[in-house]
Parts: sequence; structure tokens; C-alpha cells
Amino acid sequence: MTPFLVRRFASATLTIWAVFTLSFFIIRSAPGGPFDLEREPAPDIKAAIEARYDLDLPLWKQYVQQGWLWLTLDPGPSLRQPDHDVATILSQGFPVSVLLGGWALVTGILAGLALGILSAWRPGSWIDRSVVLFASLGISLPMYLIAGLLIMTFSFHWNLLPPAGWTSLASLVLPMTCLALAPAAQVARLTRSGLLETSSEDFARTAKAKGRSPLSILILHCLRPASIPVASTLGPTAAALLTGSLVVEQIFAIPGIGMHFVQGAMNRDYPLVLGVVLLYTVLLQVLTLIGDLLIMWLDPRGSDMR
Amino acid sequence: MIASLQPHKSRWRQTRKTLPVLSLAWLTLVVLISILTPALPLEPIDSVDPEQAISAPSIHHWFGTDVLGRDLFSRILRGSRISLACALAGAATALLVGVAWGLIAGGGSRQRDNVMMRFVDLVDSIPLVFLVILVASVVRGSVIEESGGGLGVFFVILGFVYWTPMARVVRGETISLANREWALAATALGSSPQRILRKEILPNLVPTILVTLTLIIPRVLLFEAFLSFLGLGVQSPHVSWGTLARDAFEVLNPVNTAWWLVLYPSLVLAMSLLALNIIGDALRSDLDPKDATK
Amino acid sequence: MRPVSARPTRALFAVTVLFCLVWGGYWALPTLPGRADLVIGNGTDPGSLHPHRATGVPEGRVIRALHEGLVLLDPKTQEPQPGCAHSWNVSDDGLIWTFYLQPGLQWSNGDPLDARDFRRSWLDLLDPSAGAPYGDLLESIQGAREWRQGKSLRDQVAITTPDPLTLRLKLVQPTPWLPFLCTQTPLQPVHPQALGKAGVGIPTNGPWTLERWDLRDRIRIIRSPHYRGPAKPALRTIDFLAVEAGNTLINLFASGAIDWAVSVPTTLLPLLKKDPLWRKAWRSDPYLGISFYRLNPTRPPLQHLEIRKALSLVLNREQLCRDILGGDPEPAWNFVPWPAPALERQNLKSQQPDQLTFLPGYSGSASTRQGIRDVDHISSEQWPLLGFDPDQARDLLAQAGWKTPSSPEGRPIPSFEILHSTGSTHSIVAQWLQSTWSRELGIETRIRSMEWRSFLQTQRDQDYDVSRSSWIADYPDPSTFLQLFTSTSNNNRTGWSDAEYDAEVAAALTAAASKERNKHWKNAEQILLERGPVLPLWSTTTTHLVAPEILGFRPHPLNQHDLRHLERRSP
Repeated sequence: MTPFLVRRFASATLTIWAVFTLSFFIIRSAPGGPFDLEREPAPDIKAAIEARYDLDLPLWKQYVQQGWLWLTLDPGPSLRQPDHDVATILSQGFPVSVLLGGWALVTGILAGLALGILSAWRPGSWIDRSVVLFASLGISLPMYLIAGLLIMTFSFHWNLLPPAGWTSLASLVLPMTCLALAPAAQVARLTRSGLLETSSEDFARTAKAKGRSPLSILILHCLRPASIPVASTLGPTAAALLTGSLVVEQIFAIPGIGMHFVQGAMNRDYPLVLGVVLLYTVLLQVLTLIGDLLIMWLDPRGSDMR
Repeated sequence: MIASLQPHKSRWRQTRKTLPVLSLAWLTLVVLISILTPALPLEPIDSVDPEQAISAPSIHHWFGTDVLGRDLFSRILRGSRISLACALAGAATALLVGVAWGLIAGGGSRQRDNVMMRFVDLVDSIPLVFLVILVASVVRGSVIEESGGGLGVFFVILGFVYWTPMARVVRGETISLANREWALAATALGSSPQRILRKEILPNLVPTILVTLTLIIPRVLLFEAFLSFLGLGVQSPHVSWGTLARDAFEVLNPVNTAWWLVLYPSLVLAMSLLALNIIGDALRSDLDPKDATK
Repeated sequence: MRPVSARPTRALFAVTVLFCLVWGGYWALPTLPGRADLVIGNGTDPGSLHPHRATGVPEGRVIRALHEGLVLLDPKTQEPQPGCAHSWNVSDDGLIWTFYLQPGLQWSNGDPLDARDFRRSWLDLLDPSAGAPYGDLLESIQGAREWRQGKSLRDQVAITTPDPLTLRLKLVQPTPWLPFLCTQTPLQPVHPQALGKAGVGIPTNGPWTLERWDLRDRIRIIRSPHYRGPAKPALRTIDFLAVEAGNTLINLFASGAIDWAVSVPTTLLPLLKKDPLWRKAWRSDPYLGISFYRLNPTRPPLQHLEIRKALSLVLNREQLCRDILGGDPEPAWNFVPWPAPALERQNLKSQQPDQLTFLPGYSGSASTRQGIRDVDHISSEQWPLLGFDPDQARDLLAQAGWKTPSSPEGRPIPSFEILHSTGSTHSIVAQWLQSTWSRELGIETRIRSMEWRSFLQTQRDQDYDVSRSSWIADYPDPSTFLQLFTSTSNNNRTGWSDAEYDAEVAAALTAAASKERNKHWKNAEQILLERGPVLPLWSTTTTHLVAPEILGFRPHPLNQHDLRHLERRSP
């Protein structure tokens, strides 16, 4: 176990460093700077404020400086919101995004598992086909459009939920639903095919011969090995969730860090962008690791760790 | 298989095929229309008619008009062309880059595989949105762009976003296929690894590749819609289903929605993506020997 | 490798995940202590709440509630009114201003506030090493420009405090709009403890103080017990919500979560207006600014004057404003939104033509051709308005030998690129331009949209053919518009330069009498419209949605509504 973890830690570190370097140089190559305005001040005045943030140093020096600041976890103020440190901004927004994304992931997976089980229980029936169709609907329209339609239905047609904002538990429902649709669809599909596959194995037939009901066989015996593909997609699913959160946080006015992604790049807020990128990379690495650990746990026969 | 647990269900086999067939028919229709669109008598692409802005469907405008008075029906038809091009760009790049990468990684030494898949992990862990936004705003004035009216670069970007799933799948399948008896036999008989890859493994990968393609293409289209949401998608006067989706979103409001601007583009987009998913599912169950629904 | 041992690990794992989610939920969920008296959907999350660093409208709205300057504006007449200063005067030559402060003013932590705080704050604003974007507002003070160029010292700037309650300024050129400037955020005082930052706990001097700032969520301000100024507010707490998406603002307003939405997306304007309830909430007020396109005269085909004129003549601005922009903005054919027909028509009858000034009480809309003709002492022949005349445009081009739909034998006009920044309104207008130019003149154009900062960079590099622009006044005087296109202005960004124009602008800035100033401004604008690099489209308006329970909402020429005068009607 330990050598495995050590290896993973080393490769994660390498990935993080590579992402940091790539992101740094990409965003610095974009035209324009953080202090550009329609109403431009005189060039020397602008230079003064850029110098205050060390933006006048040669690029490689800034790279080293930024790298060091991040290593010591002290990245300094945001360029667009200089009243706040990047660390503060991220630590305020991150729990919100994790909460939303985490619950969306859990809900999506649970819903997907349930749908997949339902589907595999009566394969080919109208239940099966409608479940598959229903699950596919969630990935057949852009998320923002689904969000808009949900808002119109649940916030205005039936006055049930707030249309936006971050004021109460009810504010969570619609954004979470939007984010959970894609994972649910994917998990449903994978679970269904995985269950259909494992239910043809010997141990399933034995259980059937012993007189157990098909449903209990599915859940108790087939589900674990069938969930392996689900666990292996945990990383990419989480990545897709992060992208989806951009849209959701903007539409539902949720104070997460999703928008900092896009807005940070557009505002040339270099420290903030680097912070968000690093945070996401770390998160992805952690989630992929969790996914791999889950695979090991689920399949005691051991999997090909090549 | 579950059917073996419930031995007497056989009637569903006949109706199983209708959905995929319908989906195929719809997609064929979409492709045909997008090819034929330039020949159809539609209004010029950049004509606006502000007096007709946001008017409901009528004899003159079968699907109504948008905020600049443009006919929605023609915009949907035109949009299918660009969306089709996006889909093809995504498919082509995923195919070329992804399959090649996966084959080389899976068919080679463990070290080579490790390095190549690490690179894939790296690509996956870079927030691509961010990359695309920057590239979209940085690149300008290139030859591709001018000839495609700004769309050339756009398609290339889209293509590079989604090759990694293909690479992973192909790599996994290649490894598994390479370990089969007939592959090992071919090696024993003296065939070179490249020959084996090309002649034996690659043809066996075709079903998997097709299935993965039907998963990738919807994601390409949805990503294009996402870029339109951010304002970085297809630029006017060109129109795609993604821009129509964004226009649909912008028109949703609690007071008085122009329902036609929401319904028709959503319907067309949803049906096409659903069709792709259904075909993908059908292909997968047809081609997978272990699938239970046979 | 060994398989992970079963039951305890599994249970531990599940418990950990659940615990993280629940704990994260507890921490992350909002703890909102009741609804504020007024909730404003304020658009983008403010950048900085420091008066010297803020540049955007959303942050300005918050800062003006937290700070108070020397002067306030009367909400009805928009005339300058006492703020921290109870009176002021100016010498006859217009160069020496004296402000007399109210005694007994306090910061929100009880510290005393007097003229020395203003002097210190204004010098900090001018400080070249601070890089304050609006520092140039005070450059007409003697010594300021030299200090900012590094040629003199801080103490040589002519801001003095003969006694703690008097502030005296010596200017190098007349600045009649100085009282108005004193209402603006960069000239509001900053506490010495601020040290370049703003936030909860830093003392301010306005009617409210900052209670909380939840990033990207809301800012809450609460009435300050130490406020000793002239206008005590009725509202106790105010929330400013950060909402990025335009549709979300509308949704929040419709559900009652916010009382005031600061903007309405253009695409929704025609739809929302059809509903009578929404029309009641609608406030559309003139905003002292102009939306126009910059034309780059160094690029083909725009170096030809007749092409620039023709491009303007074929545009049916009335149709644009009425059908596409929802009917509120006014078409503009000249660059300075001046004179304002409604108010001007009343006042001008009693005034001499040469007394025509740019009235601070700007409550009308921008000049239309109709408005100009009504103002009978400015004859329309003198005014180089281009108006809407497609036939004349085609004639102009045909005479110069170009190919048009009506004269196909000429030289074809080269195609060019329309550049705009991302945004649905900009995109729609660009498409309208493209379509009109193609239909009326046969000119092919490409549209390119860029995200904001790339767009600004491109404009600065003058790497465009025509690009979308807008300019909002800093104060109500033509100089804020017409100084843009001098040769030395770094907001010119077109490469256009005209010595006669520069001379007229310079003469206007130094003229003491308003009659002479206006004459020079008018000359300068004529030159700009006759041969300059601008294509005016419409004069800007702001659209707000205000719930009927909120009373006291009045228009402000620069979209700087004073929250002091708002109250909530009790149900």
C-alpha cells in the first residue's frame, strides 16, 4: 500500500508543477493586463501600479516568485480585488463549491445506481427504455438551458424554490439537480451494463438457483463488481462537474469559485487564476486517488494496476 | 444474464430495434438538410428585420423570429451545418489523435505506456475551459481563421478537447486484445508488432471506436453550446445550434417568454443528441459479446 | 498487492465522506440574519471598495454609501448641495476655490474629521506612485501635474488648509465643474488607517458602515451612529447582491428577493415591457454618455472621408433605438449629448444664446435632429449633423468613383472588420451594422468579438478597422467628451490627429468666460463630426427595475443614485 501511495504522491506533485507552469505561461501570453480600463490613465501612472505587483519584473522572475509564494501558501492579494488575499477568496468560495459539487456527485451517483438497478432488473422492458431515455435527457441539452427551464418551472410556475441566491437550504436544490444530471446519466448507463454483465456470471446463477429474487441478487451480489467502471470514471466525472459548476454558479448566483476560473482569466487576475487552477488540480488528483482506492476495495480479486 | 434469470421474456426483442432505427433516420435527415441548406431558398445570412423582432410563428416565419427579426427556421437549418461541422471536427480529431495515441501506448512497452498515459492524465487535469478561453482570445489573424470566417480555429480547438477518452478506451482495448491467444500466436509466428497492430488489433477496435465516437460527439456539441454561453462560440453572422441554445436561454424570463425561441432549438438539439446516445447504446449492446440483452 | 481489509475500512470510508459533506455543509451554508431594508441586485462583485482604486459602477454605488465628500447633489434639481462642506466660493478669475467644512464631523469610529483629512486624501489620490486611475481629475490644481510627472514634490501641490475647517485650492485653469467633482468617489476622504485597503472595520465617514462582505455573494451596510452629515438616511440596512447574469437579476426581481435591479438585458426589453406591472417598475433615465464606434482612419477603406460619412448616413438610428434597443436610448448624431431638448427648451428662451452652457441639471435626452431644430438660435445649417439619408450616402460614394448598388461601375469598396467586445447588445448592434452596410452600400464586413481585455489591447494597438466604444462623462461638461480625441490624449486610440481640433480644445480649456468656452467647444465638435474618427450611435440610458415599495428613487445623470433619499413604504 505504502509504495503505491508514495508513487501516486510523487506523480501528483509532478502533475501539479506541470499544470502550474503551463497555466502561468499561458495566461501571461494573453494580451492585455489586469489594470486595463476603457478610461486609461497616463502610461507612467499605470506603470506605477503594475510595479507595485511586480508585474514589471522579467517573466521568469515572476514565475519563480509566484512558485515560491504558492509553495509557502501565501499568494498575496488578488489583482482585481486588492482588498482581499487570494487565499481568503478561495477559502470563502471553495467550501461552497465543494458542498454543491459534493452533494451533486453523491446524489447523481445514488440516483444513477438506482436507475441502473431498475433498468437491469427488467431489461428491455418499457421501464428499461424509459429509464435510459430519461437519463439521456439530462445530457441532451446544454446545462444552462436545463437550468433555465427548471427555474421557470419550479420557481415561477410552481412557487416552490428560489430562482437564485445563496440564502437557505432551498437554494441548493435546483443547482444541485442541474449538476447531478450528467453524473446520474453516466452512472445509470454504466451500472446497467455492468449489472447485466455480472448477472450472467456463475455466482449470480448459483444464487438464482438457490431461490433468491433477481432484485436482491442484483443489489447484494452484482452491484459491487459492477460499480468498478463507475469508480474509474470518478475523476473525469468530477472534472466535468467542475466545468458544469461554472455555468450553475453564474446562473444561480452561487458564491463558489467556479466563476473565478473564467472571470479570473478574463480579468487577467494572475494570482487568482493560478490559485483556482492549482486547487482544481489538487482536487482532481485527490478524487482520482479516491476512485482508485474504491476500485481496490470493490474488487477484492485485484485489478490490473498497470 | 438476467434473461437467464427470467427465461420467458422474448417479445421485447422485436420492438428493441425501433428506437435506434428512428434515431438513425433522424440523424440522416439532419445530415441531409445540412448538406442541402445552401441550395434552399432562404434569406441571406446577414439580413435583419428589426420591425419583425420576436414575432410568433406565422405563415411567413414558420418558427417565428428572433430578437433581430431573423427567421428561426432558416437559422436552425443553417445552424445544423455548423453543428455538423463541429461534430465532424471533434470526431476526426478524436479519431486521429486518440486512436493513434491509444494504439501506440497499449501496443508497446510498459514504460512507453506509462509515459503516454501520464501525458493523457496531464491533459485531463488541465482545466480545458481556461485553455480554450485563452486560446480563443489570443489567436487571431491566422490563415485558417480568415478562410473559415473565424470558425477554422474554433473547430480545431473543439477537436483537441475530447481526444483523451478515445485514447484511454483504445489503449485499454489494445492491451486486452494484445493478450489474446491469437495475437500472441501471431507474435510467435514472427509478425512485427506494427503489423499486428494494424492488421489484427485495429480492425477489432472498430466497434469500440464507433461506440466511443457516439459518446464523444454529443459532448463536443454540448461544449460548443457552453462556449456560446460564455460568448466565445461561433460568431455572428454564422449561427449554430449552440448559439441558438444561448439565445433560447437569454429569452427565458418569468414574465413573457417567446416560447418558439426556446422550444424549436431545444427540440432539435435534444433529439439529435438523444439519437446519438440511443445509437451508441444499441451499437454497444450489439457488439459486446457479453451483453445480456441478446 | 494485498487487498484492502473489508469491513472496518469500508465503514470508516463511508463515515468520512458523509462527515465531510455534512460539516462542509454546516460551514458553507449561509447564515443570513434577516432580510435587509433594501436589497439591490448590484451586478458584478465589486473590485475594491477603496475610493482611490474603484473604477466600476457597482463599487461606486457601495462606496458612495460608505463615504461622503464635500458636496452632495440635490436629488430633484441635481444642483450641488452641502455635504461635508457647508459652503464654498470661487474667486473671480475662477482659479481659487475655498471650501468651508462643517464642524463636528466624525469618522465611523468616532475620530474627528476635518479639512486636513481631505487634503491628505486628495494628495494620496494624486500621488504618482499610487497609480490611482482617477488621479487626473485633480490635475488642474497647481503643482499636481508636475508632481505626477516626477518634476516636483508632494508639498508643492496647491492644496492648503489655512485652518482645520477650511480647504483652499489654487488651479491653473478654470474648472467650473469642481463642486460636481467633489461628489465623486475618488475625492471622498480616506481614513489614515486604511493603508490602501478597504474592508470591514476600516473607518469611513458616510451615513453607513460596512458590516459584512461575503465575496461574490453580498455586501451589507448598516447605518452609522457617528454620522454627523446633513442627510440622515431612512434605511437602516442595505444589501448589495453580486449577480453576474442578466437573466438572474430579472428572476430575482420577479421573485421579490431583490428590490432594485440595476440593469435589464437588451434581449428581454421588448418582452418585459409588454407587461403592465413591469412597466410600473421600469425606470429608464438618461446617462450622460455616448455609445459610438471608433473608426481607424489609418486603415483602408476608412482613410477616405466620403466612406466614413456614407457609413454614418445609411444608419437608421431611430430604428435601432426603437426596435432593437427597446425604445429607451435616444439616437445620437453628434458626440456630446448636448443640448438636452426638454429642459433646455424651457430655460433657453430666457437665456442669451452665448450663455448656453452644459447644464448640470441634465434631465433631458440627447440631442436629436428634431431637438436641435427646435432650439431656434442654433440653426441646423451650422450644425454638421449627418442624419439618415441613404441616397445621399450612395451619391457621395458614386461621385468619388466607388461602386454602390445604385452605381455598379465604380471601384469596389474593400471589406473590413467590425470589432466588438463580448456582450449580447454589442453583438446585436454589430450584426445590425453589418446588415445595413451590406444592403445599402454593398459593403462586405466581417464581425469579430473579443473578450474585454484583449479587445482593449487591440484598440490600444490601433489594430482594428471599426470598433465599438462608449464614453461616459466624468462630470457634466463638454470637455470630458471632447478631450478624448486630441493628439495627446491616451484615450484617443484611433490614430486620428488634427491640429485645428487640438487648438480649439486648448482654447476652450483656458477660456475664462463661458461664452467663449462654448464657442470653442462647438467648433471642436464640428471638426470632430466633419472629419473625425467617430460614428455616434445613441446616447446612453440606464434601465433599472425598482419595486413599488421603494420611494424616493430619482434619476441621476451619472447613474449615481443617492441611497440617502430612499425609503421603504411600510405595508
